[in-house]
Parts: sequence; C-alpha cells; structure tokens
Amino acid sequence: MEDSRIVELYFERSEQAIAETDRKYGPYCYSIAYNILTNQEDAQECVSDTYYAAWNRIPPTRPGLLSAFLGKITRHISIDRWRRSTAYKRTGGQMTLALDELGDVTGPEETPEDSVSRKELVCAINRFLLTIPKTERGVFLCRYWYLDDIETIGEKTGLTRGNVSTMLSRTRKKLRQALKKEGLL
Amino acid sequence: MTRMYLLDAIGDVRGDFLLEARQLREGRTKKGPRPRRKLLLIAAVIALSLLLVGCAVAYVLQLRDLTLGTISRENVPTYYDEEGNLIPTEASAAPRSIVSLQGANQQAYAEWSEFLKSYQPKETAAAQLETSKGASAEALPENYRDIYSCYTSEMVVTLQNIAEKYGLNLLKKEYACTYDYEADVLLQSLHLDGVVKADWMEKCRYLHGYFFDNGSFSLPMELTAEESGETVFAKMDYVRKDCLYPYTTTVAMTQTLREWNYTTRDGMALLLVLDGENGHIFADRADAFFHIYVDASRREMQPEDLERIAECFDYAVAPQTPSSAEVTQFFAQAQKDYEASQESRQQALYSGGYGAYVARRLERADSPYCRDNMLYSLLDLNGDGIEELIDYQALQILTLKDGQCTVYFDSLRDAPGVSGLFYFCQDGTVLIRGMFDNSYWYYRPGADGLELIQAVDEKLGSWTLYREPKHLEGERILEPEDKQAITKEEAYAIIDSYSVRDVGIQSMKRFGEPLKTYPYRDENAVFIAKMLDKYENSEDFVYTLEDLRGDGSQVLIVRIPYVADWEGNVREGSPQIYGFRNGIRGTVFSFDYLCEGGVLCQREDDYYEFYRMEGDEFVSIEKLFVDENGYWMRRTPGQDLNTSGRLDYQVITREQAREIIASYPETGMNWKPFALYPLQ
Repeated sequence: MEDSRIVELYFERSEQAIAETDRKYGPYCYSIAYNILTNQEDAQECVSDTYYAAWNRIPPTRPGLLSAFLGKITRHISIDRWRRSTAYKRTGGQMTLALDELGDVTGPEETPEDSVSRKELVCAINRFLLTIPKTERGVFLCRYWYLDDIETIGEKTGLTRGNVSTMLSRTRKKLRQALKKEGLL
Repeated sequence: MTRMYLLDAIGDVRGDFLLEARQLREGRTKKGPRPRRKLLLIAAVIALSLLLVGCAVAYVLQLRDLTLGTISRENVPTYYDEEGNLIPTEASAAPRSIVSLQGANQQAYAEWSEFLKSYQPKETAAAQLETSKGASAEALPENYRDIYSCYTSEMVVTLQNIAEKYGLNLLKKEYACTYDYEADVLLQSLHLDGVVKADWMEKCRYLHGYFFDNGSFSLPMELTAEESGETVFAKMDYVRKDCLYPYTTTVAMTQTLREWNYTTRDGMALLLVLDGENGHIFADRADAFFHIYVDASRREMQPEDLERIAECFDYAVAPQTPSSAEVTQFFAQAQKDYEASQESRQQALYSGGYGAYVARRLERADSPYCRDNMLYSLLDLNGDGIEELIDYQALQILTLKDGQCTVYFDSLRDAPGVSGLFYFCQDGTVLIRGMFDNSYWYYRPGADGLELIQAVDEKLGSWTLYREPKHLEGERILEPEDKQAITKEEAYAIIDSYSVRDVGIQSMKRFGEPLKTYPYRDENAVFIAKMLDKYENSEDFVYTLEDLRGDGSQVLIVRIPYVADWEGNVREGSPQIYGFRNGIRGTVFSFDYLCEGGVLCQREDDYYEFYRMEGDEFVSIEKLFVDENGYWMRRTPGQDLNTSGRLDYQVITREQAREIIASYPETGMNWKPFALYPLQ
C-alpha cells in the first residue's frame, strides 16, 4: 500500500493503519530496534510502541516520509530503553560495539566537560559527511545511525567485511581529525 | 565529549543523508512493488520535462534547471492547546532540492535514479542467489558495485543500457584519499597544481577527497582570507560531462533562498546560490560541470562574500586522466612519507632523557591550554632505583634505560579503552580514574610495566568488577570476559580500600624545579591551588560558594576560561562544579546560570534544562526546547527526564515557555578571584 494511503488510514482512525504499517515497515522498524537492543521481545515492544506513538501523532502530523518518521521514533524509543536498562551493557550488542568504536573519535584527551554544544557538533558532523564519498557516508550512517552490524553492511553494499571495517575505521579517524580541526575535541 | 553524546548527535544528521543511507541499506531488501507501466510513465515524464528544461536554458544557468527532484522533510505537524487554539511554530522545516552535478546533462542520472527507487529483483533462482547472503555481488565488476551500488547483474545491464542510450561513459574506478596527508595524491594523479587561482595557492589547504578514472573529482579545502584570517570550508566537485555521474548535491529550499548569475573577472559565467544554510557555486563549461559548496554555517554569508569566494577558483582546470600505476605509486609514496615522518617524530620524542622528552612535548602543544595542562611527577614506581616520569596528559609513564627514555606504560597500547587521570595510592598501587565514565582501574607496578589488579566500572547505575584489561582485536576494543556484576556498596568498598597520596606534581614548563605538594585538608583548596599553579591565565579564574542543597552546606562553583589557540583567543568557560571523593576527582557538572532556590540551568539557544543538587547528584527537574519543527516542547516535573525520546513531551506555546523559564529567575553569583580562596 502506498504511504499516502496508509497515512490516510491513520487520519480515518482506521485500525487497519497499524496493520498496513506493520506489513510495510514492521521489518524496517524491527531491524532498527533489534540492532540497538539485541533482544527480540524488547525490539518487538519498541516496534509496538512506535505504532502507538504514530497513532497518537497522526493526526495532526502528516508525515511526508513515513519511513523516516517511523524510523526516528523507533530509534528514539529503543535508545531510551537501552539507556534505562542496565542489562544491555552487559550483553553487548551493536550499541555497545558502536559506542566502543566511537571511542576512536572521542579519544582519550582531556577536554573541558560540556564544552561542545550539540548544535555545533551536528553542524560539524554534517560538514564532515559532505566531504566523504556517498558510499562511505552511507556505510557510516548504516553503522552509527541504524546500528547495522558490519557483516550486514557488507551484504547490503556488496563490500567485504574487511572493506567495511577498514572504511569505517578510516571514516572515524577522519571524523576525529575533522572535529579536532574544528576545536570540538 | 562522550561517545553517547556523539552517537546521539549522529541521530540528528541531515535528512537527505539519512535517506541516502536508507537507499543503500535497503539495497537488498524487498520493496513494495510498483506497476511497471507507472514507472515507465514517471520516467518518461521526468525525461521529457528535463529535456524541455535543458533546451530552454542553454546559456543561462538556473537552479530549477539543475533540480532533479525534492526531498521533503516530515511535514510540520499541527498542534492545538487545551482550548483548541492552534499552537504556532517558531520555524518550519524547508524541503531540499536534489541538484545535478552534471549540469543540464542529467537525464541519464534521473532515469537511473528512478530505476533504483523502484527496483525489485526478479524472483528467479538466479536473482535470489544474487541477493542472498554470499559473494555474488562481489563477483560483479567493481565499478558497478562500488560506484553505482549495483548488486545484481540485472542492475548492471540496466545501467549499461541507460549509459548507452545517452552516449555516456561509466566511471570505472574511484580513488579515495582518506587522510589529509593523501590530499596531494589527488592533485598529483590528475596533474594539477591546484584548483584555486595563483594568488590563492598559499591560502588554500587541501583536505582529503576522491577522484575517478576519467578525471572527475571532489576536493574539500580550507581557504583562509589574508585580511581577516577567517577560514572558510569549501568543496569543489568537478564532473566531466561525458560520464554518468552517480552523485548529486542538495540545496535547502528556504524562504531566504537567493540565486543570481555572476561573471568572474576573467569572464566565467556562474550561478551563485545562498540557501540560508550554505553557499553554492555552479559553473557550466563545455566539457565539465563545477559545483562548489561553501560552508556558511558558522556565520551568515552575504552575496558579496560568495562572489568574493567564487573569484578564488580556477574554472579552467584541466585534470588529466590518471594512470592507475601512477596513482598506486603516489598513494604508496604518501603513505611512506607519512610513516617516515611519524616514526621520526616518535623517535625524536624518546631519543634522550626526560628533559629532552619534556621539551619536545611542550614544543608540540596545540594551544596554551594544552601546554599548561602538561604536568609530570617523578616516582620510582617499581622500586628498581630509577624514577619513572609520569606524564599525566599523555597518560603515559616513561622510565630510563641507558639514559634514554623508554615507555614503561602507554595507556593506548597497554590499557585500550581506558582514559582518565593518574592517582597514586599509599600501597604503591597506581589508579586511573576514568574521565569520561565512572570507572576506576587499579594497577600493580611490575618490572616492565603496570599490571592490572582489578577495575570497577559503573554504567547506568550498574557496577561491574573486572580482573583483566580490555583488549584490542584489530582496531576494536573488546570488554574483558572475566567480569562480575557487583553492588554499589561492593564497588565503593573496593574504591575506599585504596587511599591516594600526594606524590608531588610539577608543570612541564618548569621541568627540573622541585615537585609541588598540596597539603590542604580542604579538597577544594587543593583543586584551587593546583589550578593557580597550572594555568598562566589563572588570574582570570573565579569561584563562588553557594548553598545549592538548601541545607547550609557550601558548594564550590568555578569559572575557568581557557586559552584555545596561540593567537590568545579565549573560550569563556561555563560555571562548573567539581566533585571530589577522598582526593579523587568525581563528577564535573557544567551549567549556564544559577536560578533562585539553588536551581541550575543549562541553556543553549532555545534549550533550557533545570537541575537541583541532591547529595552529590544533579537531578533534572524540567526541560524545555524548540524541536526541529519549531515547536516548544516541555518535559514536566515528575516525568522520567532521562530519556531522549520526544514522545512524552508536551507541546506548549512560546508564551507558556517564557512563563516557565521566567518562573526560574536568574540570580547573580558573587564571583571572586581564585587567589582569594582560603587555602587550608
């Protein structure tokens, strides 16, 4: 079903909206939640919470890009849950790994705490992402936005696992260089 | 900056990047089928409209002629208050235009892009094999896979057909200059001296970039204006028109968008665009198309600024097609030169005694703040009669062998994933207190280095005991396998079982002078005295004591501006509260202003978060901010405030937001110079 029709179902307050959302975007939202939580039940709950949130937000919201709308909600909910739960840190998962990897960017140097504003940081990341090839940018966001594991990124891009790891490692180093250059590290 | 903070910030990257990533991500997943006839119709309409547009604008470049489509951000939602009145937004999100990097020669890309959007692999056994987990995509020619994101042979054939239909070549090889030290490889390989005019050569610093076998390239750079010393980030895309170029750019379709034609002093006709976010320069040459992105996010750019920048570039550049052998050689040489320079830099650091080491460390300081922060101690850690040099900033310990420095402990090498501050305990144990997390790593000094005894680490309220260090696998830091969940009480029993001692410390700037000790009972006094000794601008540091808990106890608040560069530019520090426990630094809390009743406010533009101090903890009590759609959002007291999700936020009017903010009236702080603090 086309997105616009699904959105109409929400506006009509038809419960079919949830069924159609689940049919079309269930796997997409589940993959985002599962990558963060690595637990089927919790991921499924986050997906359900996403539908509930969408149901409450549409109307009045009329999302232009339903997938982005749902994806952002799922990411927020899942990261919230990850933060609240103490169990996930012990069981690893892509969040833990991705956070570890991002240690390459933040580095060990002492910086005055809270000296970097979020807005400044987002602008700097956006500027940096512009400087790298599209494929590299996509791979970076698959890893650190979608929290996809390296093997999956390899499958999706046709790159080998080693290529993806090397590309990510280089991107992190470049990001570190870029943030240092901007005085953010 | 913490890793979580960075991961969170990545969540807010530009929407078009996200869409692009999703396309990549869904490369192999099934999509909802779209009727083929409809697809053809769409493709035909796009192709026709582009053809018509192309004919009409042969000589005058306009943004609309370069536009391939629009990316709309989520529609701005509408909210009503309890009385049914519309809540107005502060701002609205602008859609972005996808803009061709091939000038008017863009039909082929439009057709390919439309194919990609609707492509669904055939359900044949062969296609299934191709789309299944395996190496078949790797069997496709590298350029189809890596440059054009093909993952089935069906896509390869379609791409070939489109290229043939429009008489275009396909790019065969992409070369990425990953590091800044490889930036010259691009210029060398394309036989270019640069891409700016001669008088700008010295003021331009090229960064990493990428280029293709046909000479097309993308090259980021920093341009520094001589008069103002201001640096502007720019990126030039040079695209040969005889190829099917797979990348596009985007322009924000804001209300303040301005586009105009401009002719440079040497006669190059340009299209200049200021979209309220950034600047764009487009140049259409017979054989190639230029797009130059100019970053204007740091300060608002005026048309004359963009025109001045446009004059810097050489639009006559003629990159030659690179020879693969030459490119390989240039990359190898760049790597070799870089490794040699790093090696000699590293060797130079340790070739000599401690005095030479310290002198070189000081030479390499990035800023006065960094230099002032270089402290050392001398201490015979392992009782072999040789004093080790403790480098606090590098988190490194050196010892001497035959009068030469040698590394005894290097946190990057010996304790991956641990970063923090050194402390030395009464029983000889060395402690590293995590700076970005709540961890404590205890080491026993051995003959040749530190050996981990144990570590306790708190994350999200849970404590873990480690008995082995984190380790590296490739470039990844892995958690120790031998770990055990413990209670907070058990963790503090371990932490409190060690007692730190004052081993004496000295600034590297005063190497050779006696080490200083700080024998004060008041931990705040120790902190203040150290800061006074450490920083050259410490006369500008101020403190105040406030009753934040409402129980009469005084909490030390400091404000420490730091000198960020050698030009003497100072970054004003926020008020900060440093926590200490048994001589060990704990939490550092930064805020922006103090409100009546001991409430602390963190504020940044339209973001306000209010905290109370309870014990040694800082508890968030209310949060307000303007979201990406321009609405004021509020987290009310009593709700779980430790989440980043916005689902439970209440939408309020600007007036309500102002009322709430005003209900926390700011109160002044009685700042005094550090020198007036009673040291006892």
